[in-house]
Amino acid sequence: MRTLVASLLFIVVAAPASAQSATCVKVGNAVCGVTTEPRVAATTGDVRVSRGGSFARAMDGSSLAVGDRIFIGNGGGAVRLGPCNVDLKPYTVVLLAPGGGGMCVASLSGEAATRDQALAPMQLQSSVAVASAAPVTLPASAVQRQPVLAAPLPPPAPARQPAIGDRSVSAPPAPPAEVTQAPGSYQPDPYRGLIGQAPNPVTPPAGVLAGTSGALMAAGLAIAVGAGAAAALAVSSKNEKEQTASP
Amino acid sequence: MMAITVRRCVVGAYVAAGAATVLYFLALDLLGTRLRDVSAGLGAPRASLQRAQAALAADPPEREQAAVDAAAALRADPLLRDGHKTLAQALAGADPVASAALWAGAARFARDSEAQVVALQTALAAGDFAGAVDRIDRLFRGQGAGRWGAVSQALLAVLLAPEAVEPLAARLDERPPWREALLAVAAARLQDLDGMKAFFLAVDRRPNRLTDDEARPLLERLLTAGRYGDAYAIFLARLPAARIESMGYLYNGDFRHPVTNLPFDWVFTRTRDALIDVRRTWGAQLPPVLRVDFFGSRIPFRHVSHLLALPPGAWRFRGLEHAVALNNPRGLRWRVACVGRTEPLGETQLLSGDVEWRPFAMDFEVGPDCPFQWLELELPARVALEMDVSGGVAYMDLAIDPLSQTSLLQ
Repeated sequence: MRTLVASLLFIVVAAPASAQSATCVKVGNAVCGVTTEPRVAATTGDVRVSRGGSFARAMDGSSLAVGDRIFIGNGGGAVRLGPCNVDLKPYTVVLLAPGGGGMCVASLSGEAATRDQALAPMQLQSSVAVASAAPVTLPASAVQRQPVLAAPLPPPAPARQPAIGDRSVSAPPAPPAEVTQAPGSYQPDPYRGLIGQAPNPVTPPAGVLAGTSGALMAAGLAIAVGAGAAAALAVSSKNEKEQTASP
Repeated sequence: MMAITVRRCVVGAYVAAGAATVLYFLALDLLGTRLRDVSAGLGAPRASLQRAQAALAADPPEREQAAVDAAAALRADPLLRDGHKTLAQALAGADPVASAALWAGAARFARDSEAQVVALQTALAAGDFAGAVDRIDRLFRGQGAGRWGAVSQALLAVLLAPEAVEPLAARLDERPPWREALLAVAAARLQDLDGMKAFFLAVDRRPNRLTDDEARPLLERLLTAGRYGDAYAIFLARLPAARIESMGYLYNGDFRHPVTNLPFDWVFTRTRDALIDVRRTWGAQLPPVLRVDFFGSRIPFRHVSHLLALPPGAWRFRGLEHAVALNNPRGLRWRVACVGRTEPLGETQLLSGDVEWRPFAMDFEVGPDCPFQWLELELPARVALEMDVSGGVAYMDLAIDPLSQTSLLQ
């Protein structure tokens, strides 16, 4: 029973690969098929063929010749070499050349790895390396930062009396304390938040100041008003006396 | 009698006004005292938060005390800046869920970069790449390009993962102020060249395509890695349709288009010892001219080059040349060589002195093992003295034509 299941599994898994190898032959870095009339197929975007240096747009069924360069831009396409269908990835340039008893498609690249990648039958996965989706752990220094307000401010520079004729530029203000940063790690701005984070709680608002000084002014005004009233009363009583004394 | 009454009224008015003034200022003073109390009350949450931050900064951190103080500060002022963040830090070990919720609250302060980093980390951990791009945007918008230099390799790799590429490209298409910096950092530091290529092409497919300056690092990285075919395909993909259909074997050989300094176009390397430029005579119906003027200094000149992708076969490089008082022991010449090899495929005759416009040509043969070639204008000096050069040269209507083509793989 086990042997039967294993045989069935082998047939199911190996069958497509056998069919592929039966139609396409790999010769060096090229994929070849037995045909005398290679054609463009399955174009889904910008597929162009170069003859004479310039690239003309190719359609499904466009015939190809030895020496042609096929450029696949944004999209995809294939080259049909008889029974062998060579899928081409976007942003590649391939060459059509004789070989393997028929025609071959070879990548135009200086690197062997890329030549293999450009040929889809040998590269079923996307060429884009799949980066791990695991969460990135940022360094602790980037996340648990010391409170900015606790950082000591630099001492003020001592005042210097300029001498006569001294043209030297006054010393620049001392820079903020240097913040060490782990290489390759993100570090929040150490200077961010220094402004506007430390309001002085004992500084009264302007209205309070006005009230305090206003009380002093009120006292002065009251004295002035009282003195004025007293003077007025005195003048009034004097006038009354003069009126009563007159015949 | 009437006068006496009037005077008494005046005196009474004086007294009343004085009393009113005194009462007014007394009331004002009372109000000031009250305001002072209110002000002291406003300062209390901030002081409490400072105590919490000091407790966190202690060695070892007094997290419980910090949590109490931070919670008190937030109770008094729920919108207190840094309140959520401090409480989140205090609760980090004891209550991770509450800490995470508080960090999320802190991240509502768009300019709190620390909270944005945590939010970015959370979004990436949850696979929420669109959210991560939002956080990136908040982090780096307005913070200057230099910030990207501190981004870790791991963070870059995750940001440029296949699932994240499209959301990031869509955001870059909006031309945020950090676009140029991100592209530069990715080009310089991303080790996965295929991932980098996919990311740059995703940006290039958007309406706001990569500029030449933005695309150059990708092409140069591909060349450095020996992936000339990939670089060539990307160069072709960036050309307008009309141009790719008439480019010939020497792209821009007649200097009709602006020189981009990209591989597979002309590359003029800057030097202080010579001026290299393309001069156009507008209105005179003359083709553009490549001019190189030397300033009389010593220079190992190889500063005009063009990368080629000629198929195997026999070729002719031709054009028109002109020299004006070109003073050098040897002279200038064009040279074609396979990429990665020193021996030339062909060299033009040396040009020096005063030469009126004249045609020149050079035949050479490209083998099947030479898929890419360099065309260079060089001063073939054998000793330092032969690098002294002054005067100028000019070229126009350069082209490469096939003489025959041999087949590949035969």
